Amino acid sequence: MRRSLFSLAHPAVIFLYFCAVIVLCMSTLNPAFVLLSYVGASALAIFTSGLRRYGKTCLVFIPVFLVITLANALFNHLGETFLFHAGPLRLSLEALIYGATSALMLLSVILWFLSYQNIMTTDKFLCLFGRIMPATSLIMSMIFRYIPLLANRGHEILMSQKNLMGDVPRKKLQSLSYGARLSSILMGWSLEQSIETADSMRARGFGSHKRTTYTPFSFGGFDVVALMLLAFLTIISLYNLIVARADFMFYPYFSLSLPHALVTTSYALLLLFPFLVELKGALSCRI
Amino acid sequence: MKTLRTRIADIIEMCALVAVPATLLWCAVRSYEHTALLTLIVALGSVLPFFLRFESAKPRPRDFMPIVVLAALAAAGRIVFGPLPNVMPVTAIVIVAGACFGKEGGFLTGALAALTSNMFFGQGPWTPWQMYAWGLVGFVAGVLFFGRTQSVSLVAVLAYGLLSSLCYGILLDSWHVVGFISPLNWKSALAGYAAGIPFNVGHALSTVVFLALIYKPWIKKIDRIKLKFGITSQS
Repeated sequence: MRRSLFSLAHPAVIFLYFCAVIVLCMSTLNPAFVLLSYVGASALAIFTSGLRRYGKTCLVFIPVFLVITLANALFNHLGETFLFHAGPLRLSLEALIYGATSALMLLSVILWFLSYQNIMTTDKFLCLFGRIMPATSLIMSMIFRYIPLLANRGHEILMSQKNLMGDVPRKKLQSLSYGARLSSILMGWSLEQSIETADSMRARGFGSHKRTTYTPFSFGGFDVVALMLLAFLTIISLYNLIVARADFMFYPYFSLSLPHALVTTSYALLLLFPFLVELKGALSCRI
Repeated sequence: MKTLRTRIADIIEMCALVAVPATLLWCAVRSYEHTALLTLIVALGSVLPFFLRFESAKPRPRDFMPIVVLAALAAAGRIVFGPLPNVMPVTAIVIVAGACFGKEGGFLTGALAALTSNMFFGQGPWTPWQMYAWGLVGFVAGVLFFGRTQSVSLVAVLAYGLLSSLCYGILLDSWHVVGFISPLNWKSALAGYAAGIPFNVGHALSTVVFLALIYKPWIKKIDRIKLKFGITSQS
């Protein structure tokens, strides 16, 4: 996984950026904009998680893509350019394009989330929401600590059960009740011990001060400029995506007059914002 | 005796829970253009009141430890059974959490299990939906079984497990069907839901098996621990 310069920005900037691109991606079905968003999402996903993981994610969602495209296209009698008739099924070009656009929108949203997860790591998420929701972010960080702890304990319990009761039985039904006993021991042990931990935390004055984070995130000059630029681009794009809706129609005949150049440019700049940050970094390194 | 504050909070929670299916239905009937975006925002918004209420109660660490442990067990169980995507112990554990710690505890366990386990499986637009749906499963389990764990028969719990995991699946598929298929008619909706049937049936059956295995022993242990440590549950 490559570390992008954008990931060094303040968590609030990153979070708002992804909110903006995901909302904008879902707010229009104009095929040109959906395609643009897909290209932007793919570029960032490939950059942050590598071609391999990107390909894997796309492959996993091919069935969903096909189901949505076909469910849209096969039972739709609005289009006028017919590709084929087969009894009650009529496939029109317009319906097919509509279905594919709709499914591509879903795929782009999924890809945006993939990059989101690579850039907005758990510690950033907790830093951002720890101030607004201290108890919830504490619970979340404790759950993250408990998942590996439970795995280790589960292994320990399995080893001692094997010594006491013999190996895991071969028969399906018996092995199920063996597993149920393991889980029950694990739950009882962990629950009881966790309450002792909680009492110990309270005795040591937990929660009497504001929680600090391991990584110091500071809101600097770069973040102010970035936030203003993002807000500007988002407002232009949002306004025009809603207005530009009139520029295309699916039914009865598919027609697409390309959207205004200014709109497309501002939307493309917004989508490629992490790469602009990268470019700025590369330029300032060279000088 | 309920104070005015808790009554208002109860009403807000009920409205938040009802808002999601109501919006889905409204969008489906009206064939609204921005359905995918609107319903996603409503699902995200419906989870918030529960967390805000939890924050405003200023809970002590020992009060929320059961939620931590049960949500972590659910997430860890989901990771263990990760290779079989339709075998998820999460639903069963969330039902136990609702039955033992009430409707709020059940909701938070379900929502947090979804949020944290998705850090391993990948976040996506499905995250708010899973948080809402598993939270709802825990909430209704709390309404039905909390305080009655001794008298409710195992068959009733298993029936609820079967029904709730089917509803979970239908709710998650609804976003794809209502949000991305247009025009929505019986045929196209059926085609959309039919694709999810193998997954949902597998999930429902595995939930029943998990519940049959863990419900009785876990309830017994949790009741003992609640008595031993004097844990207050159900706000």
